[in-house]
Amino acid sequence: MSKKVKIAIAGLGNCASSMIQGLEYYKSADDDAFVPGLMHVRFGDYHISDVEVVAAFEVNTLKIGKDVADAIWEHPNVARKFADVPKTGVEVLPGPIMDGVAPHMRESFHVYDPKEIPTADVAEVLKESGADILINFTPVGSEEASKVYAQACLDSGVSFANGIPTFIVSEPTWAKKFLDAGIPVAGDDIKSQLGATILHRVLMKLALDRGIRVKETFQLNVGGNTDFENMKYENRLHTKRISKTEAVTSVLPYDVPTRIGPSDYVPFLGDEKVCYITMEGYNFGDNPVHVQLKLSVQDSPNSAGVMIDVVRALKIARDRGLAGPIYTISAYSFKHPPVQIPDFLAKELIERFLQGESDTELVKPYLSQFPIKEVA
Amino acid sequence: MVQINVAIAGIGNLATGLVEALQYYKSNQDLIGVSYPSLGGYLIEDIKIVAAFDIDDRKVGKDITEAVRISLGSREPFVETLEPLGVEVLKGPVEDGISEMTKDVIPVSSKKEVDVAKILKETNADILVIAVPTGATKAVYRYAEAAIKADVAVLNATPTPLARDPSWARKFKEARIPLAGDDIQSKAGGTVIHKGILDALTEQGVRVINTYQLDVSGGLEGLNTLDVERRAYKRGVKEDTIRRAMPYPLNVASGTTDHLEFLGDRRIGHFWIEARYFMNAPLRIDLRMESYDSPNGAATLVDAIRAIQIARNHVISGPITAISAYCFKAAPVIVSRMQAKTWFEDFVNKKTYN
Repeated sequence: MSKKVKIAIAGLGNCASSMIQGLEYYKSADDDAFVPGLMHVRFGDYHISDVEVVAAFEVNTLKIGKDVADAIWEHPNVARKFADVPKTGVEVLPGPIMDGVAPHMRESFHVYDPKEIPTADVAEVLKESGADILINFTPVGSEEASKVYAQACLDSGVSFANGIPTFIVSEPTWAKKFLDAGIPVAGDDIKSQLGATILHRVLMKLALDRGIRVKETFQLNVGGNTDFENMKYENRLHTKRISKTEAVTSVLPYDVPTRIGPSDYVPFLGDEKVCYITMEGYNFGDNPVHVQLKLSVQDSPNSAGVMIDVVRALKIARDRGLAGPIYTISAYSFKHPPVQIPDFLAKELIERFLQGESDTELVKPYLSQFPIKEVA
Repeated sequence: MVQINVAIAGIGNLATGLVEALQYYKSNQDLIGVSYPSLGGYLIEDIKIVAAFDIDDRKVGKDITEAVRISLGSREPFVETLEPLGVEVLKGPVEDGISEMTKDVIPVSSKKEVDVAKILKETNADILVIAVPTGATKAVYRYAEAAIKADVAVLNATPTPLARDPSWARKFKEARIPLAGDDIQSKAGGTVIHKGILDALTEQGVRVINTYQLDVSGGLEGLNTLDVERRAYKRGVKEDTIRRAMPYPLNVASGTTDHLEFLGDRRIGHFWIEARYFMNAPLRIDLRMESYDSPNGAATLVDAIRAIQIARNHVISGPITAISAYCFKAAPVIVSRMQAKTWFEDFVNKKTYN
């Protein structure tokens, strides 16, 4: 059993920056210390310091060729610096571009020209680097690029952790491919520790439980990082809008006028994300109830800890010889998992998974949602 | 005093507010929100709508009082019943009045386009208010040309440059017609409130670093601004007026950020200000504002209409700086709120023309 969790990262943006900084920031944390955003400092056998970056792919000429430790500070990254990152000795390589770069993002992303710099053979690099897991941190809307990375994982026997809302782990054809190839995977679309969706859901649930009739509700999100710039065009955020809206409307058993989505790109906000939630409703006697909420948070660290738990869970799955979607960690850590399990329960199931129980057995009552594996 | 004959192109929120206001102040004596009960001798009730143009099949052919109810969405009318004015909404030029975002929502009338200049003459219009959707540049030009042809003054409520475009300014000057614009400023709208707070802070020595004012609305204007190009354009105009009124550089984002159909005529604005003051101490302001678009725009419009009629009476032509600075966001000359008010009152009372 290897003592390290070797990760490769596709897309060295703000999420990667916050995650890599986090590995450094908490490298000496005590096993039983409380770290905001991590389930455990030592997750199964693996301490946070066991996670090691061994390969990285980018399309940005300012990042390609640099050490990972330097590349994370390059434009357009704006993630707040909370740790110094020493040299990793890992050089950032040119990855497939495809649809990872929307036309309006070519400038912001400083995209390289594949005619001048040959695109790296991802599967080959993954094999040579000894990577256990590839994290997909490409921009929202990278359908084709994500599939190229997923295929490279299949070809090299590397696990896929899908951070973005392109459906791969939760898509039966792809899930089956990984199952057949004997590779464990987790996804899709990484959750935040405390984001707009969870806050809004809790508010709707509260209204429902307390008998408030919701008349209308909206959630506006503004931010200044490339995630928001990327989603400026309506066609790019179509699936994102649907998944975010459904996550909230599904809480109520009746239809309510609702509007949710990334609303605006405000460059000077940098990595700060601001969310406004409003709910109007009625209580007894049709008297008005009005709720207004504002959430302001650094965007990219919000999911960094979650992803550090995910890669360690996948490493444990590899150690145990598991294959296909790992249901428990996917349900707990991703917005669009193969099987949905209530949050509090998913957390408990992961603890039991860490104790050695079978992932598939643990989610047995929910497995009909995604019947590609059978329970013995 | 004789009445002021007004034609209006684009029967949306602004027209709705105007139609309701004209009726409201016939029978109501309360003057809350009325800045000038009398302006150069003109009362609000002296304003008369004589012609109306639109391209929406649901509005064309109807009396304007009926057509404005279609734009109302879910809001309660401020005037319960509107007596018909006998002004039929006529089919105006379509041009680029329909955007990618609104094409599925607005049924374009198949009726034949009227000769706008001819109608303006026939109805003895004094003033044409251009209130077509943001970004409908060609449509704005068509109406401006018709106004010049018919010798009618223009109030450009859209952000398309007319008053601040030197070539259009010259055309109006040469035709000896007054013009004011561009982009009407709501009486107590987001921009005014935003500027007011920034002014107050700056006056107290506070240095604003970052600020935004992001609105959501349910009107067509909101839907239209989902079109990234049109949004960027309108944004640029708004942000520029704020930056230009400040004595130091700062980061500004301002404008409509999303369309929430169920808000109808309602508008919700979120303001945020990050600043530094004495000993570099931080200061933050978070504000939320709820308002209605149509009364907010109409409150300004009734002032602009009466003031430009005064310009017309005195044959003062070309872009009227004072009216533009006080009533519009993207005026040819942008000054502080107080300065603009002084200019406006001086213009109305003493006909001083700067």
